[in-house]
Amino acid sequence: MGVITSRQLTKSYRNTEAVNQLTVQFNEGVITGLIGRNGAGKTTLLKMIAGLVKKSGGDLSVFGEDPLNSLKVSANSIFVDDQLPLPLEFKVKDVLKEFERFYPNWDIELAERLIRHFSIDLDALPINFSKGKRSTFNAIVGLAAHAPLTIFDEPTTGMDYSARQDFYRALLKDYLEHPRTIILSSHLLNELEDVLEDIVLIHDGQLYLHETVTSLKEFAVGLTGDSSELSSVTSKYEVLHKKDVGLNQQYVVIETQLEEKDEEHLKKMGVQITPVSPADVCVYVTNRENGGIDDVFNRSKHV
Amino acid sequence: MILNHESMKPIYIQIAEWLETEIIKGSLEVDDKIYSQYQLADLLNINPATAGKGLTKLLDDGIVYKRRGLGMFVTENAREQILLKRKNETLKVMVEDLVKEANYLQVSNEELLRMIEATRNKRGSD
Amino acid sequence: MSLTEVSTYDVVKKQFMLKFKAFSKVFTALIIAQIIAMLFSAGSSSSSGGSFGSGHQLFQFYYVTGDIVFTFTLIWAVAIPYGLVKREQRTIDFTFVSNRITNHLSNFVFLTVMSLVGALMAFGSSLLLRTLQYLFHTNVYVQSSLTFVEVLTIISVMFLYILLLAIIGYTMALLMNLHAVMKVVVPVTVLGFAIFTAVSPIYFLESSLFLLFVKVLFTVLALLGAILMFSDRWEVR
Repeated sequence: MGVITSRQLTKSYRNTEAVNQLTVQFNEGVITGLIGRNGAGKTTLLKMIAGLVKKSGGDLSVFGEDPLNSLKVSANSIFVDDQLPLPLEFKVKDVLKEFERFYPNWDIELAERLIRHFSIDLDALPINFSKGKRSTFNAIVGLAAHAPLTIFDEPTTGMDYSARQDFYRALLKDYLEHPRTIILSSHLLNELEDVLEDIVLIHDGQLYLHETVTSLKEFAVGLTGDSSELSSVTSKYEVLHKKDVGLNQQYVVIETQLEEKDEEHLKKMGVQITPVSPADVCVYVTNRENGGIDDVFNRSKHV
Repeated sequence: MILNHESMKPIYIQIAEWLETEIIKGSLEVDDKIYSQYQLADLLNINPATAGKGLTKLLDDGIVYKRRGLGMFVTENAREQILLKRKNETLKVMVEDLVKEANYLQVSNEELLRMIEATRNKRGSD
Repeated sequence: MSLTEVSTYDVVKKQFMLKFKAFSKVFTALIIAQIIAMLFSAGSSSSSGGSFGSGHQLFQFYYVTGDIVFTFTLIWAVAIPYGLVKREQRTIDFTFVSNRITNHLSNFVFLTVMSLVGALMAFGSSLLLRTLQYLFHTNVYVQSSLTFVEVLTIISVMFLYILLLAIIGYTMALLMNLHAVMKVVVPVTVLGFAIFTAVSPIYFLESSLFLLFVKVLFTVLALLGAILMFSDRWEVR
C-alpha cells in the first residue's frame, strides 16, 4: 500500500528540474532508504512530501491529500534534516516541551532516555551544538515524535561512527515497537542497509529503481579474474562496472545473477565470484553514462 | 549468530540456515517455539521484513509450523528433513566441487578416499 | 499507526503560544524604544510632549499621533514584523505542525496581541512622561483627569494605529523577502506613498473613532486576505 504516491512529479528551480517527472510510491509501515548522488533530487522530493516545498507539476499524494498546506500531513509527519529551525533562546528542555504540545504521539520518556544516553544537557542551547551533536539531537526528536510518517534527510551528518551505530539501532528498536512509515535519505547505505526494507534510488530527479534490499543484494555479482577469460562470458551480460585490478586481471560487475553453467565455467577458471553491496550497485548504475572517476584521468579516451 | 555480509548468501538464507543448525544440534527440539520475526530483527539488528523472509523459508520448507497468534514451532521431522536436504544440496555441491578439484589436480579415486578417511579419523567423531 | 486529525484553530493557538515564548524579546525592544523616546522628550521643552485632551473639544487624534513616545511605538510596530518573517523565524512553525495559512494566522494573532500590549504601554509611558514633566516643569499644562471613556478611547486609537502599522510592516517584510531588490523597492515605495500621496491623512486625520476602526479593520482584512491568497508563493525551507 502506498502511503505516498507521486505521478510525474516535477519541481523546477529556474531552468533546472530538481525532480523531473518522478513517479514513485512509498509503502506504508516500511523503512525505505532514499538513495542518490548529490543533487539527485532527494531533499527536494522529501520537502515536497513534507509539504514544505510546492511542486511545479504532476501529482503528489500523502495520506490521500496534497501535502502542501495540509494540516493532516503536517500533524502526522515529521521532517528532520540537519537544520530543524528552532527559536534561538530555546533550551533542549524547552524544545522537548514544544514538541510534546504539537505531537500527540510524542514519547517524552524515549526522548529523555536518548538525551541522557547521548550526554546532552537539558539546559543547553541546541543552536550552540556542534554539527554532530545537533544531528543527534534532531534525530532524537525525529524518533520520539512517533509520527506515522517519519522523514530523515541525511540524519547522520557530522555524527561519529559510534553515534551513527547507536542511531541505527535506536531507529530499528523504536520501529519494532512502533511500526510506521519511515523514509531515510543517506549516503551511507553500507551502514544502514540491514535496517532498511526498501530502497528507492533516484538519479537526475527520476526514479532509477525501487527494490527490496534483499533483491538489490542479488541485483549484481562481481567477478575477479583473468581479463580474457572474463570477457568470453561477460559479453552476454549487462556490464555495470569494469576495473583493472592487476596484470591482465579485471574486476567486472554484471547485472543479474550468473547462469549456472557460466558460474561453473568461471569457477573452474579460477574466477572469484563475490556479492556486490547495494551501495556499490547504486554507484555503478548511476555512473553508467559518464563513467567512473578513472575515466576522468584516462587521457587516451576522448571526451 | 553473526551475519556475514561478504557472503554470496543472502541474509535471510543465513538466518534460515542458522536456525536449521540449531535444530540439528538439538538446541531446538520438536514443538519448541522459535524466535519471532521481531525477536530476530532485534537480535540481529536487521529489518523485520528480512527476518520474516528467513522464517517464511523455514515455513515453506516444512521445518516449522505456524500456530495463529502463538508463533512458529519446530515440526516433528524437521531434523530429518534438514539432514536430508543438507546431504542432497549442501554436501552434494561440496562433493562435486571436491571431485572437480581432484580431477583438476589429477588426484586418483583411491588417493581422494584416503584423504577423506584420514581427515575423518583425525577429527574424531564430530 | 492511526492518524491524528487537527483543526486550524488548535494549531494557530499552539503556534501563538510558541511565538509568545519565542519572541518575548519583542517587548524588551518596546520598553527600550519607549525609554529612548522619553529621554528625547524629557530633554526638550513642554511642547514636544503633546497632549491627550484639548480644552472644549473632547479629543483630537492629531495630538495622539504627535506624541513622541507613541511615534517610537509606531516605528517599533512597523519594524518588528520583519523579524517574524525572516527565514530563520518563519521556518520554525514548520519544525512543528504548520501549514502556510496557520503560519500567517498565528503571526497575525501575535501582531494583534503585540499591538494591544504596545498601546497599553505607550499610554502608560505617556502618562508617566507627563507626570514627570509636570513635576519638573511647572509651566506644563496637564489636564487634571481623564474620564474612563477618554482613556479607553485613547488606548483604542493607539491600538488601531499600531495594528495598522504592524500589518503594513508584516506585508512589507513578506514582499521584501521575495527578492533582494525588494528590500529597497518596497520601503521606498511605501514611504513615498505615505509622504507624497493623500493616503496617510485618510487614517491619521480621521477624527471619528468608529470610522477609524472601520478603515483600519478594512485595511487589515484586505492585506491579510491578500497574504493568505498568495501564501503558496513563499517557499518554507
